Amino acid sequence: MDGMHDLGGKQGFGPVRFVRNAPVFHADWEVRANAMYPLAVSVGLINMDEYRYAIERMAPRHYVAATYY
Amino acid sequence: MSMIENGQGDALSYHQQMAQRTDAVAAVFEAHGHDVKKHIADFAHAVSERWVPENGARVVAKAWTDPVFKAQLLTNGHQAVTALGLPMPVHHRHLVALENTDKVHNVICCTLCSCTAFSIIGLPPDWYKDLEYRARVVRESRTVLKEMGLDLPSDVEIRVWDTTADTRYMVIPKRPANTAGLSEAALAALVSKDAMFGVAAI
Repeated sequence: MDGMHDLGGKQGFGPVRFVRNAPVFHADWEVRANAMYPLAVSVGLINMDEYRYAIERMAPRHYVAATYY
Repeated sequence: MSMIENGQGDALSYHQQMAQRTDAVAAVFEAHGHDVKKHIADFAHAVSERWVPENGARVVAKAWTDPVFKAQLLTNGHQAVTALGLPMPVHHRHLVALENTDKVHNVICCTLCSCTAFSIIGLPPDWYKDLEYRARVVRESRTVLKEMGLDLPSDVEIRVWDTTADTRYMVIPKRPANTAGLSEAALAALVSKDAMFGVAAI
């Protein structure tokens, strides 16, 4: 699906926020959130395709405003 | 809106709210009999102890010093790194090692999201997952790298590699000059995570 998530080459974005050796997480809840989707996969609640499809169905306004986790 | 653009007060309430939501999801897992606390602790341990860029640095240093290993790494990266005892999740089916030279510079991205060979080069940093990097690095890589502090000579070709779920990449940076006498461990200590993503030189 050519959705909002397919960002490669989209124009109009500003500078990348970059520092050397930048952090992966900015808060403990991000670690917990990142841990729980593989848990949902491993216990059979969702599979990776359902997970991706859910992301790709986010409304465009929601997608561009949302943070990663 | 990224967190960096938020005011201090907004960022705080955002994090508090997200922590509450995350805890609510954890509570549902618990209510269904899953040991979510242990799973989270195991994940946090893997992030800090197992899926670390020191793995990739070791791979790079070995490739710099051992031509047989380098050939194996370039042929079948997955096989070469797992033979060293390094972890790669089963669904990361291919690891492609990309060698930088005087004429070619490689840089990696995931335009759709955040896929990375994270068990080898570490989990992707914030900027890798941001919309700006994903949108721009494939269209104006030279400009983006320059903005990020890597100003490549105009005669160096830039190759951008867009990661997928089952094909992951790592960059083998150029070995710095004047390192001929160094041990593999000393060389590994020179290799940065950013260099293995292709956004920094060593």
